Amino acid sequence: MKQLRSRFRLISLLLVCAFLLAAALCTGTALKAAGISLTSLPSLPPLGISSPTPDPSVSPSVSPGGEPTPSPVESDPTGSLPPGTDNTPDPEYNVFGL
Amino acid sequence: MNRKQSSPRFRFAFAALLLSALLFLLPAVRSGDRRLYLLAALVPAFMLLCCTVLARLFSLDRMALTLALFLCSLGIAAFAPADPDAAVAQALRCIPGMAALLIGAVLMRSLSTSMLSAVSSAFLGLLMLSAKLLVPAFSVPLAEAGLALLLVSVASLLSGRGSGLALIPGFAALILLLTGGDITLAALWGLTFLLLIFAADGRFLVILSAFCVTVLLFFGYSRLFPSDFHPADTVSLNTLISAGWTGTDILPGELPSAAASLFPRLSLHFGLLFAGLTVLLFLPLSLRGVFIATSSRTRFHAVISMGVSLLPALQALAALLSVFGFLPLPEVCFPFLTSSLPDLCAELFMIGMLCGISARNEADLAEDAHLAMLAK
Repeated sequence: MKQLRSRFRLISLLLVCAFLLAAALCTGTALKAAGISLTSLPSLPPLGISSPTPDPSVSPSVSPGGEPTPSPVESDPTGSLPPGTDNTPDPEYNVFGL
Repeated sequence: MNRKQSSPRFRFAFAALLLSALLFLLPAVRSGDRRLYLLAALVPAFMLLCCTVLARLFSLDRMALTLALFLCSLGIAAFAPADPDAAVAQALRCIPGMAALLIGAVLMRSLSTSMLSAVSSAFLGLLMLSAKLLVPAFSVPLAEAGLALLLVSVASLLSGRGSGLALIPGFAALILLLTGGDITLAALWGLTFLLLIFAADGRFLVILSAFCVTVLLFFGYSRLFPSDFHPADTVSLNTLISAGWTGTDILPGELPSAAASLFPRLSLHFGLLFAGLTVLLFLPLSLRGVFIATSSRTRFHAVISMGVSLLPALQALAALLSVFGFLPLPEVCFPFLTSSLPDLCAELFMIGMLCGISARNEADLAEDAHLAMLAK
């Protein structure tokens, strides 16, 4: 009876290992089928860290002639546009979809 | 039972009841269907009734019972968002299943090892397995119920008369299952039978010969009928993944409405994450069975409870690997997540057998305590 119990414990251990292995295998397959690679996970940017403000080290856009591009308010000859009304956000930084 | 021991069990039962209520309440609130509200009230109430009154009356093992009933409620919930009528029908299917569970519990409490019980259960089990061969028009799947009876026969022979005689019903069942074309159940039974022989007999020669015969049978079958070894022709993995990790309300057109397996429905409605956690519930259920097996006083009850724990656990494992295309087997249903009434009844009958053995163990412990008290 003692031997029987020890064999039962061995079988249950094998069963647990098989379950965990199957779960890991199926999770990996599901992630792969969903297009998520475990090796690419560290290279993904963490959510909520990306700043909506531009990087200060990046210089403002420069026209091919070498002069800086005027802002929409500066280019408005009539001056009817109040500041901030047509400064549409750059899609690159529009993280909130506004 | 003191308060410290009962507290985690009650918390577990409470969590299962709450979750089973939420599984129906969420779709009920979304669709406003009265039947779903009714199920949200009745299913947890039925579970509560079974886990308290019936468990007390029949001395059933509460953890195994709660897990089995929760899995049954998941089977009902798989239908709930898209087809409330089918959910009600599935709930009604669980009532005869519960009766089968009680029959199994009472049977195991009173049954002991004898040649008569071994021969009669082997005869009945083999008759059920060969029903499809004897009467081709007979379409009721009785194979799982037959295997439950054959477990009794094999356990009786393994515990009393040696494993030589136990090989006869074991291999007869395997041959009948292969002849009937039920390759999945044949594989599950073959593996369970080999593990039981390993545990109960342990002689190298017997294990090796049993293993060789099983492998030869499957090899011969694969040579004769190679087309039977094909992956599951059910919902593809990409369809399950397209529903997302949290599920969807709209079922894809390729989901067959009459499919017996409810796992694709469950994962499509509630998401792959929830379905994955559901699969992990089979592990504590089988470990509970192993615990009951190791607590048994007699080899007969120990071997039966081990077999009853192994069959659903291996079936769940095979179903999981088959869904993901790792096993070349036809459609395998997860235990309790099936719309087939005979299969559901057979699975709950096996849980009833486990509960009956647990009740017998508790009665033995109470008798020991009584004797110890008298000796003082």
